Amino acid sequence: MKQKKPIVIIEKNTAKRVKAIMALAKKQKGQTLIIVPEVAMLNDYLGLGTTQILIGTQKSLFLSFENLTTIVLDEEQYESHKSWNQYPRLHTGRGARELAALTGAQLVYASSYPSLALRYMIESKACVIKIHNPIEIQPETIPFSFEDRKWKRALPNDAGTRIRAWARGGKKVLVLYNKKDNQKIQEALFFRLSKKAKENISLGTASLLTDAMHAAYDRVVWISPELTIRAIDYRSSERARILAARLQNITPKHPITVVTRSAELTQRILGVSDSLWYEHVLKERRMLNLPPFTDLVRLTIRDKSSTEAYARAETVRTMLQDAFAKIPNTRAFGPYQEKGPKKSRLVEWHILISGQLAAVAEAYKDLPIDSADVDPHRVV
Amino acid sequence: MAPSSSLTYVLVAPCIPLPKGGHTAYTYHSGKNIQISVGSIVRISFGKRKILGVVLQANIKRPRYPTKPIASVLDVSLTPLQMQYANVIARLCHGGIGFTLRLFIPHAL
Repeated sequence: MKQKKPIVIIEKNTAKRVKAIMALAKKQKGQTLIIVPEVAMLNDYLGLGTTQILIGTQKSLFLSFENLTTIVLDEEQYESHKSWNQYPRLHTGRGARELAALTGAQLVYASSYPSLALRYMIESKACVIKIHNPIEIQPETIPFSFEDRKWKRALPNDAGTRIRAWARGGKKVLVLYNKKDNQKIQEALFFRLSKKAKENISLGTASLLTDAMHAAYDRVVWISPELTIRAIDYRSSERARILAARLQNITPKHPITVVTRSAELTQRILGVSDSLWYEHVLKERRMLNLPPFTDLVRLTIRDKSSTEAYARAETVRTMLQDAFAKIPNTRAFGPYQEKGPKKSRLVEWHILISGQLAAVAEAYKDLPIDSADVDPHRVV
Repeated sequence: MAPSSSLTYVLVAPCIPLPKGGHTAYTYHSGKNIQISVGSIVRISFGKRKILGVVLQANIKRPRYPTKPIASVLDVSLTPLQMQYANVIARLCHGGIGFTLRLFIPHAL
């Protein structure tokens, strides 16, 4: 079936974006499926669904459609589009593309801050832009001073004072710290604060953002973005920027306060313009042949004994290499080891393959592997 | 037991994870007056369990080996588009067609 060029709607204001999506959906003659990355985001579409306009999460891809003409992927840049802990570990974007290929439906990418893949599609004119009004990240960095380091403070004095002043003044502050062990930060933040003022501070991980109430914050503080930036993954800088944009959208009128021990690194990733960052990262990915220039699949081989799992992984790799000799621009990396889930005693070995998905899927479909994770959420 | 001429044979994919490299679908039989088509959701006995399965092929040739009966046929069935889509996902994600079809079965069942 012939594929139409995807439509792109980039609008930072959620209400305006939803309005634009609904206007587009109402024009369609057939059914429209709108997919959101998180259940809480269904609130944005509350009362807007009809028999012709279906709104849901990834699972709605599996419904039976009579005449599906449009698939909208809202907030396409969100990591939560990827289901990573249970089969089929599908990325909604991938699922939507495959469904659109079967039905001939029009794909619509909606976003408040486009992912690198979507930026690349725009640059290579592979889509039609309807609206282009992305979030602009404005970080305000507070580094750890010499004194803060000397006294081994969990939080710079400047940042602590500022957050406490906001809380005392009745402002709701969201403090994001992407580590569950936040005892020391908590102590530093709540130092000499009244119970009422303490209630104005919400400290937590990124899971706080899935709370439907997040729009009510007046100020946003991100502690240690380097934890995200330094994660061993080629997408870490993109993830950091997407998270920063999400935080920025909570309080569009104020800059996000970034508290960091690596001011230079943070400035290099979050402090630069979108175009500069995009150019740099795209160049890097082109050089290393990473998405969007290729597709990645992580194959997993599990066994009770490491020796047996490794032997099978080696066999799989040899078979893949033989198959890849006939397919251009495909490569297999590994096998490399990773422990299985904590409760499981199984040992896991992985092989990472890169190439065009349609071609590599043919190569691994009959191999003795336990699972294939297309567009893996992490490589290592 | 009913004579084999009054039986119809179907290929059913059990909606559970199956061992890699083994069979992905099994032959079951039912009475000819029962309407079963591709995409029908059926209840089957698999080992000691009663599980759901999806019919991949209807009216196949009678196999040489003995087959088990289909316990019941549910009112809902999957559309050809859903079957096609499940095939695509099963091929990409390497989970077996039956286990993938499980995603398409309404939760209430």
